[in-house]
Amino acid sequence: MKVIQIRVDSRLIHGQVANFWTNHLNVNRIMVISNEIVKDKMQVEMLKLSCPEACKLTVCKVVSAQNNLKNEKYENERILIIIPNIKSLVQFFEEEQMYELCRVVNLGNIPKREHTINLSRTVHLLPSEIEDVKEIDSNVSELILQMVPNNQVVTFQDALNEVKG
Amino acid sequence: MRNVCIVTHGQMGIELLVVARDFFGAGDSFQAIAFEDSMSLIDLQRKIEDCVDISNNEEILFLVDIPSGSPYNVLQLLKMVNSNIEVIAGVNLPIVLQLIATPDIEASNLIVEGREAIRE
Repeated sequence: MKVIQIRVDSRLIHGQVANFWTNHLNVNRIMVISNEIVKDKMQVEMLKLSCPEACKLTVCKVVSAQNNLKNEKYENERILIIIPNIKSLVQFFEEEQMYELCRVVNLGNIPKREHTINLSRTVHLLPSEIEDVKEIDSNVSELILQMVPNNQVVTFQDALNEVKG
Repeated sequence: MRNVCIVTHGQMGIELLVVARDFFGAGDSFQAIAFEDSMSLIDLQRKIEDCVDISNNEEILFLVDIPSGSPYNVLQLLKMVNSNIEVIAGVNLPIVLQLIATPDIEASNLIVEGREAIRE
């Protein structure tokens, strides 16, 4: 079992993920991790519809995801984790063992909200979320912003420096 | 005549409709919505609901750009609770022109026409 990447993406399994990332990363399972989405039947149905045929799908709460990963539930599988927002990402990494299993975090699509700072075309973070991501950045090997595989990789640090000017 | 709404990433659908209007006479039953980079799924859903009255049970055909794209996903959600909605992914100009020519064409036939129009 290998977690290839964690992608923070409010749009969940959409064109960029279904058409590009799953092929590029050669994954055979997508895990969507969120305490909210798992309770929303329609969202779960939507995920089933949009998951590519080549990938199995797990939609689960943060704690179930942590347990499944700790217990090596998905033997021999290559996993792409999709997390909808920074709040859920923080919850996921509250279990420190997750840092050993998940080394790459990619900020994909995080929408504009009131008081958010624009880090890239598709990534908008609140000041408090920037602090949260900094903390996570210090514990993973790569924290990047990359919309699709053809885009250049921008590190979170570089994106942040760019904003500060 | 059923309403048609084109929903795509960026301005593609809006431009498609401009061409369909200016060159081929698409009427008021056609609309287009842009899904912009900074928008969330909820933003998109609201934009669709603001633009099109989906709750009044009139038949509405949505044309979106790609399967599994966010416009497609959001409309699949809306379709689950609104039986008057139809969704076709892979919109192209021939599909839009076909709808101008034969507004009441069935969705399955429209898909055939759209595919037919892709050729060498």
